[in-house]
Amino acid sequence: MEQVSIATMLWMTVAAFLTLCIFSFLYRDNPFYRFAEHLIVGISAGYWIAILYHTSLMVLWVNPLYDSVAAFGNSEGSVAGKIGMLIVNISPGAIGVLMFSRFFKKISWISRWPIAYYLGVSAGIALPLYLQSFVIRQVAANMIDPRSVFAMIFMGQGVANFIQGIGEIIIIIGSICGLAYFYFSAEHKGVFGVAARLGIWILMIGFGATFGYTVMARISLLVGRLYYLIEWVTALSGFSGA
Amino acid sequence: MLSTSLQISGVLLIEQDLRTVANEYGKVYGKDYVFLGYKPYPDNVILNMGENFRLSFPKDYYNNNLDDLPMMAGVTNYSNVACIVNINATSGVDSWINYANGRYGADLALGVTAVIATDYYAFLQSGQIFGLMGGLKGAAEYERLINRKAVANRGMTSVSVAHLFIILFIIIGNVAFFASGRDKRA
Repeated sequence: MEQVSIATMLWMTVAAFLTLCIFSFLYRDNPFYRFAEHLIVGISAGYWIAILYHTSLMVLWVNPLYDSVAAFGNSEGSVAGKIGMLIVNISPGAIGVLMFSRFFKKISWISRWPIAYYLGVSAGIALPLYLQSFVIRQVAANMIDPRSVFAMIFMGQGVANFIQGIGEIIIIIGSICGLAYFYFSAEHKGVFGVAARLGIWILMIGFGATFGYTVMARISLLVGRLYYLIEWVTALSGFSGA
Repeated sequence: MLSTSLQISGVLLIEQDLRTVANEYGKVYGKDYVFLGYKPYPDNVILNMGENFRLSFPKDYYNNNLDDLPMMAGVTNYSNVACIVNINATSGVDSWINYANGRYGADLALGVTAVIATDYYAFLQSGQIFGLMGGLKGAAEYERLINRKAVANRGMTSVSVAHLFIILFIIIGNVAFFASGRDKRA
């Protein structure tokens, strides 16, 4: 490993110390863990506000508002247009300020206006798109042409197509059986009972895959931190203070 | 490459990685890559970028006007980029599928944490996304694809051993359960 500077070594040590503070919770709750936990929450909040101020509030609201006020000082453009731009640039801030009415009991109801506006716009845009992306297109993906599936499996179109064909059949059967398990208007008996039983197996395989992936995620986080600690110890052992 | 972070925690990670990779490949900021930085409310930002990147990002992370950067000449919205690659650890992925792909028809690929990876295989099958990197396994597969084994492939050894141990413990637990005859008492 290449020689690191004193500043880098210092920050690496701080990061390693905080990592060990968090790991100390494995023993039990303790002041070191709480210190690291509070530190990350505090720094995150402070950092978020600073970034929000510089990249959003200034760039998207204050600067355009300043420009639209300054526009009155030059002779270009119509006065009506300048007033229009001023109203457009004041509006987001004005709507945002209404949120603070919550601090005053008598007029706290005004804070519902910006919330209603935001929710109304969001719902209007999101609902049709959600229906399209998460329902219609997912259902459409299950509408498979049986002739192409038959061709993929039995017409010797290669191993990849054969596997894909089998996959398509599993998707169809899995979807129908999964839905059958959640259909409670008919008793789960006979053919319907077999489908429901197969449905629960399909669901369990799905949950098993999710569980496996979740374990992998947690272990990979641990591996990442352990690699970092190894890197830190290696850097520390070779550190000469140069 | 045009990049942004719609999670506040991602800003410094992306900035640091972009610098590292740019130095490695000799890429120049503003000509080969641009970092737009962070803006809150991901849904709004994704929608705005579908119309014009400048609506949400009149300036980049370093306070340069987007129009002053050579790379941004003629780049207006998603129709001017080859594809979108969304690296995400949250359900914010849904917004990209819903708005970037659903509304604007942008080609979308995902790199997600293993915890949420299984939720998005259905979108791969339906063609709403054209690629999916799921967790460390996905990263290791990608390293093999570009023939450059690195951190992810090393990490997979530890993960594989951990998985084997978990399977072993499940088997031991089940054997102990049935051997103790508790299944009959229940």
